[in-house]
Order: sequence, then C-alpha cells, then structure tokens
Amino acid sequence: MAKTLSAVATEVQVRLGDTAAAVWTAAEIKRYLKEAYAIIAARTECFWKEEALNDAASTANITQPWEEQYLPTGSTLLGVFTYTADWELDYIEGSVYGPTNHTATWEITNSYVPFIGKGAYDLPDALIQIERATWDNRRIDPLFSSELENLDAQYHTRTGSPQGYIMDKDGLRILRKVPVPSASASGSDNNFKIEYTRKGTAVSADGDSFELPNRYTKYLRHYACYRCLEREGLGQDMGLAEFYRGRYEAGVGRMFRRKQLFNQRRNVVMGGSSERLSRPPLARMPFHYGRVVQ
Amino acid sequence: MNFSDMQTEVFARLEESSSSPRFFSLAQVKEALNDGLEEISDATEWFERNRAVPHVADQLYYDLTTSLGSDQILTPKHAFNNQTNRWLEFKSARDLDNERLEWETVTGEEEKCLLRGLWWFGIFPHSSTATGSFTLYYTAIPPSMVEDADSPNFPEEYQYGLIEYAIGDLRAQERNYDDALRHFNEYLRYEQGLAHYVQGRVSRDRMNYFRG
Repeated sequence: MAKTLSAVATEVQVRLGDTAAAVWTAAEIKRYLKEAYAIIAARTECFWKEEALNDAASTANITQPWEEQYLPTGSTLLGVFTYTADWELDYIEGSVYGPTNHTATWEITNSYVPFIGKGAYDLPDALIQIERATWDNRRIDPLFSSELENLDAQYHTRTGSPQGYIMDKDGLRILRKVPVPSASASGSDNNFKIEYTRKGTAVSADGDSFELPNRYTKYLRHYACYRCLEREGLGQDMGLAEFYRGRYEAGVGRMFRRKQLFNQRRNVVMGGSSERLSRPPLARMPFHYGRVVQ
Repeated sequence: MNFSDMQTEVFARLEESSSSPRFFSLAQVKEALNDGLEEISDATEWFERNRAVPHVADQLYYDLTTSLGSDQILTPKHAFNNQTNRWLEFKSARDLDNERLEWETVTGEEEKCLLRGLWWFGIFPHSSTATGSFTLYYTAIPPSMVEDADSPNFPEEYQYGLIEYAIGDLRAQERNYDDALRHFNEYLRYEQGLAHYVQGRVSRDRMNYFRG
C-alpha cells in the first residue's frame, strides 16, 4: 500500500520532534515533500510510460482553448484549430494547429471532405522526456527544426509517412510529425507511439498516495527533514540538515545507479561489432556547401 | 542478535527501562529499528530473492512493483527463461532497434530483456499466450522484524548498525540533534562495512585473468 502525503508528512514531523507543528507547519512540510517527489522523478527517470499518438485527420471543433467550457453537453473536445487553409498562414499570428477542414469525425469517416493530416500533437502534461518514438513499430528520429529547414524547405506542409518528429518550434509539449501524416492509423498500421519518462501520479490532497514504492518515500522524508532543518529560524540545525541531505542524495544516487546497472550488464563483445541495420542515407548537403573553398 | 535483544540494547543505551519505558514507547523503538533495517538493506542490497513471473498474453513490459507480489524490489539482477532453461541477455531498446525492425511485434520464447524506467521490465520476444514464465533474480527490502525472535539474516557484527540508527532516529525525535548526528555517523560505518562484505563475497577466491 503506497503511503499518502499526510502519512509521510506525519513521519517528518515525528523525526523532527515537532508533532504539534509548532516550528514547521504541515503545509510547509508537504510542499517540501512534493518538491522532492518531482525532483526524484526528473533526476532518476524512474517513471516510464508508453502512449499512442496515432496518425489522425486534423479534426477540431474550437478555435481557442477557453471555448472548451462552452461546448454543448455531450460534445467532446476534438481539437483546436486556427486556420482552414495553408495560405491563411500569411494573415494570422501564433498558429500551431491546423489547417482543419472539418469539425466532426463523421465528416472524415464518411469521406465528405478531403483528408488533411494532423501535424501537431499535444504531449501529456506528465511528460519529462521522450525516450523513443515509433511509427508503424519502427523507431523514428527526433530532429531539430533548423536541420529540417536545410533539408526540406517545405517540410511543414509536405505529407507522407512520418519519418521523424520535432519538438523545438511550436511551443513546449507539442510534437510535430514530419512529414504530416497522409492517412489515419487503422489497426496496427500507421500507429505512432511515444515512450517517455514522466512525473509520478499527481499528489495534492492529504489522502493522495505517492506512486513511489514505500521504500522510496523515505527519500522524500529525508529531503523534507533537510529543508526544514536548514531553514533559518527556530529549529535550524545545519549539522543534522547536512546529514539528511546526504541521505537524500545517497538515496537518489542509488536509484540512478540501479538504472545504470542494468545497462552495464549488457553483453559487449570486445573486438566484435554489433549487428546493425543500415538506414538509407539522408539527402544532406556537404558541410561546406555554399562556402568559398580555397 | 534477535529483535528482542536489539530492543533491550536500544532501551539500555537510552537509559530507559525496557519493561516500563517512560519517554520512548516500545512501538517507537521497534519502528526505529525496522527503519534502520530498511535503510541498511537499501544501501547494501544484501537481501537477494527470486520469483517466477507468469507470462501475460501479448505483454511486452511487466511492472516489477506489482508482478513480484510486492513493491520491495531494488534491482533486477538476472532473468531466466523457464521454458528454454537459458538466462536472458540484458539489452537496451536501442540495441534491439539496431538488431531488428519491428522487434516489439515479435512473439516467441524470450531471449533478451530490457528495463524501462526503474520498474518496467521488458522481454524480447514476448509471449503471445498466458502460458509459461520467466524467473527474475533481484535484490529487495527484507520483511520487517515483527516477532521477538526475528533477526536480520546478515552477519551479527553489522547488526549493531541498526541499534545506532534507531538511537539516532529517536534522539532526533526528542530534538537532541547533536546526539542524533553522532549516532547516525556511527551507523554509516556499519553500513559501509556491510556494503563491502556484500560486494566482496567472491573477490578473494577469484583469479584476475583480465589484467593479469
């Protein structure tokens, strides 16, 4: 049974000898615990998830995120769009999603409108970092938009089977498939999947449980003790704060090493070469292309 | 040294009566000792276990915090295919990407394994049916001491570390921070000793063939 926020906060109060919350308030301790929870997830990359981000038609039924609350009862949010044709880009500002030529899924499933693929996809809020992405069960590459601009000046509108993705141009937590999908996913075809490290399940109320096994909630406790004891004022004790900080750092270091240990166990043949599948060469200009060569 | 001896020792060093303690309760002492056991086990990984994990049809990744019956796992160490009686090779997703296209769709008897995050254990190829199993060898946190006769199963000379930890923990609770820190630092020496013992089990008898 995972420990709750209030249970771990109580453990901290006991360790600090302040069960009456005379020196450190419960709110302060809980803030430190949540802080440690987020830091541990980011530093150790212990939480992992895979999620489908399948190729789809660009269906959207609102033009601003705030409109979501005004959708009629029974309607679901299909997406946000700001333009309906590429030429409109010349006249609008801050557009990311689109173009869209329909506002309901039945319009595209019944082929009442031509297919326009969805290029930009929102990523989960809990995402820390994408570890791997696949299209049709094959790994595809993350690319820089500057790299793509040099390779294909029209990558933004070109359609086809996604061969890569960018995340550095349209805003945080938005993934753009390149090229824009030319067909929807069906069954196991055209599926797009991201595998990512993530934050732990959100903890806000007293009764919410940490996603960490009980063993690791002790590190949260150490961190909260450290932050409480190092805080200037009544109860400050830098020596013991340093001890708890050391325990916290050692614990996080152990989590990190546990992950690395698995990789170190991989079989490596000295003097051998691993079997590798070669990729077709990218259409890439020579590094000195366009420069005066003496 | 069993759990009862440890409690008596902690009470004695706190100058408390073990039969009718005034300041610290028996429950507090027991909790502090078990906390110490958890801490030293986490740091040294002395407790080694194994368990068969039944195949789930078409499942590539197994969550080790639920598949092993408890969430006490620390590090997966080895994996064994119970059908082919062969050990699995450790790989990364990148290795498998390089070796085979669409490897996630391949089914059959597992030959390789990979770890995602800290607890998602992948097998390749994965089973298409819910028959068979693989055995995972791993380190874990041992069960807490409950009965008076319970004893941690590591050498007694390192068990005194639990007493130091417990006293440090209890001193901190009465806000005697200097004393707490002194005992915690003493505990760290035991922890280090046990870590060396665990890591050095086969070092003496081993021939160093690689560097001569």
